Amino acid sequence: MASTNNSINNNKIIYTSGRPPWYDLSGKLKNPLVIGVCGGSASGKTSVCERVIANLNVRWVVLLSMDSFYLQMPHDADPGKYNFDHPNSFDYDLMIKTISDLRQGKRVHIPKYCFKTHSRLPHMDTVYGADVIILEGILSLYSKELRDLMDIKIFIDTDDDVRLARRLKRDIAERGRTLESVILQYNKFVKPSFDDYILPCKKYADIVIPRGSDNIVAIELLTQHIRSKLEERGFEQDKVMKELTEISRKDIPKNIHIIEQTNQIKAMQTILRNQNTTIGDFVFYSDRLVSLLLEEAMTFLPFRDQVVTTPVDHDYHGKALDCSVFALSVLRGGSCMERPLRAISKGIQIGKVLIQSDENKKPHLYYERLPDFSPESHVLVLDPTIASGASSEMAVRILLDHGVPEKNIIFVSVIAALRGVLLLNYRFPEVKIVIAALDNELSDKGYILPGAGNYSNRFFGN
Amino acid sequence: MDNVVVLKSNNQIKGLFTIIRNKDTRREDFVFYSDRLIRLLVEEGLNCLPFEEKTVITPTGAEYKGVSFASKICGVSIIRAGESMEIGLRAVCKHIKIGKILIQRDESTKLPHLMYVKLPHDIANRQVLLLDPMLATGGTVVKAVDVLIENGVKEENIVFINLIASPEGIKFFSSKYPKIKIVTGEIDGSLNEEKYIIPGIGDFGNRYFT
Repeated sequence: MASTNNSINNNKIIYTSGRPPWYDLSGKLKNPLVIGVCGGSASGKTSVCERVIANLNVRWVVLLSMDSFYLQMPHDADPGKYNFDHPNSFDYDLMIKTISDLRQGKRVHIPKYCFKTHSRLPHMDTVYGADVIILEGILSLYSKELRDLMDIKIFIDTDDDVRLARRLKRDIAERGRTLESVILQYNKFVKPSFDDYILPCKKYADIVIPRGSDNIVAIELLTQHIRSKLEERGFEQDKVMKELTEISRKDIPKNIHIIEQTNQIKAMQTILRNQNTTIGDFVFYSDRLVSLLLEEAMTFLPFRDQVVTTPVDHDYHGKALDCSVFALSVLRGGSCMERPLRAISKGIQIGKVLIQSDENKKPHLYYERLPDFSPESHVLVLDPTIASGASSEMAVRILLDHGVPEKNIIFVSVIAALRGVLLLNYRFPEVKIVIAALDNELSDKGYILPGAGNYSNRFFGN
Repeated sequence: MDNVVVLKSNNQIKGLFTIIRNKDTRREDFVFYSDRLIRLLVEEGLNCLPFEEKTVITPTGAEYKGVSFASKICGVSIIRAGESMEIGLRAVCKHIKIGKILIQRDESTKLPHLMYVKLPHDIANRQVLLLDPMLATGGTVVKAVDVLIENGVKEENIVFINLIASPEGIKFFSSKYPKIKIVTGEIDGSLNEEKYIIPGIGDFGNRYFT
């Protein structure tokens, strides 16, 4: 249906969020909820999905469009005569694999289809699992194997005339097509495909929504239904949070390790937290505190006994590091901690991820460059602050996806908010968290209070 | 003894000591890992100095009740081995003044002699971090403290930082200067006939410098 789109298909929202808090209170991993949204061209599938996502207000939603899964058009084919509305135009194998991987919480790569060249772009989007996965497209309910992976199947049933009118308007006004060419394509491909393949999918739907996104009542009901399905699966975010906030500072879980609050440590914190501290001093004292923090964090690595002979020919019963250690720097903040790391661990390999939060506090993965991890790797994650814990969570998730065992991860942070650090520990109880300070509160804007302000801004001066 | 602070032992600290105590460790690594340990010792030493309460406003506008250093400090290193600790000291105290004392043992009498001294002019008003990596018999460092006291430094204002101490050395030093805090990395067994600490580290100055 989007065959007439002349630009690269980037208009669909794809949430590349980290894997969700899909653990119940006993720590068991839950399956995400998969929703298929089907309907004819211009029936309003995307608008319905967007409304539902907005209404749901769940942290981790992935919206996938079938448009991403178009097969490469044969080189000799004429785009004007190619049937983009036929089931054979889509890569169902990849769709099935993608959805089933996401269901298992695995990371997937979503191809990007270019409607200019009618081929896949070399770059793919990386998507981490979610609470809710929505696949929308004209033939999303066509394959039985794909349907079997869906928990809720929806058909948007918008009147044919309305759809044709929308399509005409869209293709002529927004895509500069002629009336004749749109109607020709509609009669030749869009309409027959709808009658032969799309409409028959309606019988598989659990819910049929007439009139698409205008149908506010139906969308409201659908949202309610998804919510109740999520609750059945143990989605109890609010309840979990309540229990977490009842943990007092006295019974902090054992894998959250706060460095001993000596005067020395407190004095450095006082300088870092002071709003009047200059960038030079901030960097200096950050380096100093971080190097102590890293020395402390390294005590959690495995060591073996080692006996050495001293220059006066006596035995010394000592210890030697007994594992391969890597670091993962969570940009931009993590890079504030790299210099002190290199100062104590000369040749360490440092992986990098760039995670940015959007206006809804949802973290997005922008960049990842990782060394070759193995199940034996131990990784120090560097991020100077843990505020809400969302990006920290994503960083840990990425390591798990690359085969680093949870117990081999040491998360090193200068200042953490109680709530964020408890949440991180709750989701990944085996990850060791080493911090220099634990602050009580988080402001509405997501700042740690009293905190040190925006750590990277202060370190880099912008 | 409450005037002795030993660095809290853990695998990490133990691992660093294992490297520098090993006679097969090359100078490059000896220097790198000694510097790391010394830095931790200096941080520990600074922690023994007086602090006062200080409240600051963070960039979020909230108050933080913290602390800050209450006094002026300086370092004094005993030449030559003590100078190896200056890098670690400077790494944590950028602008610190450092005095030097050279004490040599008279080969015939075995007694330490003061050869050279250069101290900050206002040292009497400062807290002093005295640096010497090995506390063996304690003869040299006691002589160095004598010099500091002669220059008006108060006994209770001195913190003596070393990497490895012998029980004999601690006993001797504490009997002379009970008010001085000793910050050490590890306490070893005893001294051999040549007055080397066992198992020790050998001649620290030789291993670090030449």
